[in-house]
Amino acid sequence: MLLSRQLEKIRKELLHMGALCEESVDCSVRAILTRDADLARKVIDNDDQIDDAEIELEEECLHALALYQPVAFDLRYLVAVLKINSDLERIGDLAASLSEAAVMLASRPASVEIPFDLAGMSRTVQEMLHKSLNALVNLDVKLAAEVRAQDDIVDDIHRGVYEAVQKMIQNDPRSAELAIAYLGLSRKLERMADHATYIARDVVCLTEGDFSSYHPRSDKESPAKQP
Amino acid sequence: MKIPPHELAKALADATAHAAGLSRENAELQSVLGAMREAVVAVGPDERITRVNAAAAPLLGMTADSARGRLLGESLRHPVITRVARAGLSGKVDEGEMEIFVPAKNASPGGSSALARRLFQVRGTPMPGRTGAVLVLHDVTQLRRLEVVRQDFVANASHEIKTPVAAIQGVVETLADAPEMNETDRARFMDILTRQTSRLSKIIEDLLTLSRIERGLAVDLAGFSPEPLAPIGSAAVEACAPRANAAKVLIEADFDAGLALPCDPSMIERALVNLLENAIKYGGSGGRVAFRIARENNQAVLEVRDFGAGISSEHLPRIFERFYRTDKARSREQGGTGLGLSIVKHIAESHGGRVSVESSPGAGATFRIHLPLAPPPAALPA
Repeated sequence: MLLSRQLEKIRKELLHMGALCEESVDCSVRAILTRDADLARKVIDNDDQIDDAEIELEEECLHALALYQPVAFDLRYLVAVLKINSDLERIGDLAASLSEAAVMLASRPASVEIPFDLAGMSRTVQEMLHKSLNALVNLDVKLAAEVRAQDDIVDDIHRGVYEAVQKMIQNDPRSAELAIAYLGLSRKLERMADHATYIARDVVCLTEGDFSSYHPRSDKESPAKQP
Repeated sequence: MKIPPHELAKALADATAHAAGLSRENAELQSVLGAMREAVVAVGPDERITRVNAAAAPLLGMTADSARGRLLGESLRHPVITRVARAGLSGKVDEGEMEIFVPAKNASPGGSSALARRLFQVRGTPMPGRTGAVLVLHDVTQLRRLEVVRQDFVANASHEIKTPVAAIQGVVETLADAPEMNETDRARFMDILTRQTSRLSKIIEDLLTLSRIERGLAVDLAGFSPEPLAPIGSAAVEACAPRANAAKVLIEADFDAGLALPCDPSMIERALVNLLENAIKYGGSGGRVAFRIARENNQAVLEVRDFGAGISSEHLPRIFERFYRTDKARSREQGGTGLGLSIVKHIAESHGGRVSVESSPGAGATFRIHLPLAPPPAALPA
């Protein structure tokens, strides 16, 4: 019974962590689009809160592992939470880093248009994050698969941005500073999408009990094995 | 110890009556909650959902019954609602705003999970004796959007009118200060005066047109006999011909000669002229404009397509708003009033139709007016 109480606590904290990250990503993107440096600074300040939440959640997980010797699903759940926890923390860092770019961009003239559909790309990334967390909550393997499919879309967009930025610099070398900043935005969003995809993959492993796909985590091209 | 049978019977009757009263109250409560437009979610001290009303179910993406017992954060994940709920559970009233993903209304059950982004005002109230908290969610997405439209309208309208007035003021002051001005300078200033006053009068004229259409919304179509659309299209092309020639743009017209519907021909012509002028002005770099009038299902579609620079996606939802500009500097330079598309939209709507736009950067833009055709008598059910 003690373990189930501890797991409930962990579940709540993980959801809270997820909520904080989703909000940070949303605010950081909005700060770029509306050139709102104050909002961006708020995201940067809030990153400490996410870092604290990560440490606390990790401690709770280790606590549960050390004291209650969970087995089977509970054990897999705790392992998944530990991994997802650090993915979320990285997403929080990336949001803070987007916000730093937002502060910089807000101080530059608004005349140079962003050479790609930032709003559309970030919307897809936000959807992926939202779906990956929903997949975790509902242990929904189908939803997790949708996240992976969307990751391909984001990768394509990112490749397109690379070309657009290259063209931008060729047309006007003076725009190089902004062009590089824009490429950075796309790169950070693409990394966020990767972390959301890792979360989705962990949900599949957790649900189907197949640990083999935990291992080649860095190998993005090979999808998790389905039993 | 023995209880006399008649007392037992009385106690039983009391309890039954009490239970009936409770279930009646419960049913009443359910229907009160069910009638609310706002979503209501009640949570217990463990942050698990104890009750939701009908309006809340679609936000959670599940039926009210299956939502019961879930953690609040599993269904509605946002720091604000967590904060508000925890405040409610600790006996305090709290409120806030949050923008979250909810399942899209038109999501198909088996298909991929479409999401919509909505803005909510959340208010949390404690239940007596700290037995839980009640959260009320009010969807303010549409409200907030309209607020932005209104604020932008006032700001833009004042700006559009102030610019020519400031120019006129400047010229008049210069002329007053320099009575000995030479002919060429005077002519130049007079030219500025003429241009700015005509721009001002164009803006005012457009505003009046708009308000006239808005006021008389829904033209009394019964008063008009069916008008063939092709001649209206030709008249619009003729009216735009000088401008098209000057910009070296070819208008390719393709009209379905058989189409006719009850309408105010002068208004439809005006809408078409606005679309053609825009296509020439902003899409003229493509060298041609495709103008088509055709039947699609039960509609007449009047379509103007250019092959110019196109419009990026963030502008498309707002492009029919009054004074909305995609590129502030450029379109003012082109002499637009910022009202043309808004007039087109209102004319279409006053005829029971609608407008639509499709575009992407580099691929030109397509504007369409969709007007309902009266269903042919044969198509009516017998």
